[in-house]
Amino acid sequence: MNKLSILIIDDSKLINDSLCSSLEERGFDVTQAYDISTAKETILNHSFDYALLDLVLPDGDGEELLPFLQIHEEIRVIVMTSDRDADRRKNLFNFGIVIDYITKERHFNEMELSIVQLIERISTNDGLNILVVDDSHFMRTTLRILLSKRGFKVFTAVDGKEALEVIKERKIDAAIVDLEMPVMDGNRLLSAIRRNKSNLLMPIMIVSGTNDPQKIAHVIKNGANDFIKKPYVNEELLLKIDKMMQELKQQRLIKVHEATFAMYNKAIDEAAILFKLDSNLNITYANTYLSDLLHNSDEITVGTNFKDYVADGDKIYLDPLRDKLAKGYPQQISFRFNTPDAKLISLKLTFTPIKHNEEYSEEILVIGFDISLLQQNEDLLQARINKEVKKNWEQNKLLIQQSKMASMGEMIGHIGHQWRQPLNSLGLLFQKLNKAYQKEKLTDELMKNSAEKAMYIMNQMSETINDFKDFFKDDKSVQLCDLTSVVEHASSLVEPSIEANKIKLVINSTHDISILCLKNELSQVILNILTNAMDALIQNNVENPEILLSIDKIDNDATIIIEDNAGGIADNIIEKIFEPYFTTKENENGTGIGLYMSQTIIQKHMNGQIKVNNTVSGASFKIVLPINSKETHE
Amino acid sequence: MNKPLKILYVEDEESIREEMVEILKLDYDDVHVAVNGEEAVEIYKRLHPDIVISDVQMPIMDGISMSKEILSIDENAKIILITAFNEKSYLEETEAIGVRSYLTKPVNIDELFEKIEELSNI
Repeated sequence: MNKLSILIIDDSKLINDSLCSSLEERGFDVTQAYDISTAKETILNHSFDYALLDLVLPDGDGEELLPFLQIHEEIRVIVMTSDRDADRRKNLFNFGIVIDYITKERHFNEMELSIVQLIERISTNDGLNILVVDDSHFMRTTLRILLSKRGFKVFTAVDGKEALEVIKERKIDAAIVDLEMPVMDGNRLLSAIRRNKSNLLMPIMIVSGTNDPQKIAHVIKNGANDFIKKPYVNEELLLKIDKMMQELKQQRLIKVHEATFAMYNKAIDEAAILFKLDSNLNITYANTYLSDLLHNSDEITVGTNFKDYVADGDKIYLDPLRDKLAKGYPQQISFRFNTPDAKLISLKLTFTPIKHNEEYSEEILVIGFDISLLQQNEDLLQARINKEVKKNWEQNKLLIQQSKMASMGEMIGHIGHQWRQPLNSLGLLFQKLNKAYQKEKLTDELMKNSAEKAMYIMNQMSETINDFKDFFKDDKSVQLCDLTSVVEHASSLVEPSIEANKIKLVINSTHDISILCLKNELSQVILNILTNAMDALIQNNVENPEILLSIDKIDNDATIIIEDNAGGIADNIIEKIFEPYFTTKENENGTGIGLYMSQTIIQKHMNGQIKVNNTVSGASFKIVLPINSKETHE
Repeated sequence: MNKPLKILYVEDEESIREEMVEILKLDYDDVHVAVNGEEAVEIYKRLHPDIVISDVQMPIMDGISMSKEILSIDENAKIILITAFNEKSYLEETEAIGVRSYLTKPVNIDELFEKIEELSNI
């Protein structure tokens, strides 16, 4: 929309500037003039929608400008003056181009507001059609000019009959009707207009010179909205018309709002559950949506109690709900409802206590949605998730089993190393007895000593078995352990294999660290890394092979670092070594599960971290365990 | 029927060493022991035993290095190496340097005594 342009003609710089800035703020395009001559020049060069004219100007009376302004018909003039002379006002109105008169004596803010309201009123008159019915040509012409300047579109008729024809053909919003006319007078016209239902609300003003109160009463009774007595001043007529038209505009606005509201209402009614409750949760209104859901007619639903529909499991939410609503808090709750066919439906409901005159009445408006289908989908999804989780868990169980089998194989190797020496000793011992017996040198003492020694060796061997058997037991729960002894014990299981391969194993432990841990699982991790290091050292045929195991404490974390000098892990695979089924030992029955399991144990079961990096000479695994971890094994 | 054979037995593992010494002493009076190759070389230099019986895998100096050392002192030294089965590959190397005989673990005593007799008669 184009900005309305306004010319202010006032010699008071204060008033001119103040008006200018406040009108500009309201979005008008403002030009300023301070005297008649500059005003004339400006009007010649620009077109304006409005002129605000002060009558007292330094180079003459503002009225001198009126004939000039009259040439530029599109300009609507608002006169501002402190002059209260009634004759002058009347004159100015009669001049035709002046559309209103603002007295300067009012407070400036009031004056400014009147100007803005006037302009607004005129712009909303745009598009409104007024019919002037009068047999006097002079009256028709005067009113046409006055009303056109007011923004209306003006139609004329010379009598009632012609007026009815115009109304039939045009959309007429209001009429000004002279009472005394030939052919069809004002009264008859009034009746004819009101007979048509669509014109019942058309604002009609009757103009008449009559002094007879009976006649005036009759006109009003006949359906006139207002009456003005001739002779009148134009200002009075315009004020009355303004008032009448303002009412029309408001009525129309209300109609628009009502239609919009009805539309919203309909949309909500069709899309959602809508009902009202009293403070005892009795249903006082229910829309079709709810009634359909409950397989009831509206009448049956109304008067029943909300509680009766709520599923037993959800009834516990009712009392807290009532408490909150009584305090005026809106609530949103999902309820499961019983339906007559014994099906459960889920409704998501918003309860709003309604405010009347600043006080919460006993009325509660409830809007809601049937979320049964959503709920169903959600349940389905949950079931699918559960299935997947179970599958995953089973897969994981399989992995754990596989990893145990793999370490079992390793264990047998380790046991072999553990048993080699004692088996050799036992072999020699029995051969010694045999030899001594053959040479008749088998003394009681030799027999006794040998038997004791054999038992000692066999006890040691069965201890080895116990150690490994323990190792494969599931940890039932976390235990407070001394980290160093757990690590040393785990290392001792593989030490014979390590030594057999001429690998130096150094364990450094500087702190006593008590930690809640899953002893056997942690041992499994240590064993796994040590075995990997050992394999790498053997495979790469490293000179002076060495494994360095350090246990340390940093802040609230315990760290275990296992380093070897086997040359490190290739850059292209170092990222993948914790992935399940990733192995570099396909040809040696590597399963690719060991490090994956180690990571699972450390991260998921013990809430720690396991990382790998390459050092100058080899690989370094770092395990970080929180010392105060309260995590338990599921 | 004790023979005047001087035997040096080299073994790092105590339990095995003890057993073997007891067994050897059933037949031989003059049995000496060393716990690693280095010690064995020292003893060999001092006592010049008739026969050296040694484990292969030992700390400080293993059986093979020891054999090389001893043979460099006395090329006629009579050495029997005792080895775990998986160490057998070493033996090609040992034969080349002049080790006379070897036995695999677990040791069969009769076999050991036969080897000792065999070597002592050369």
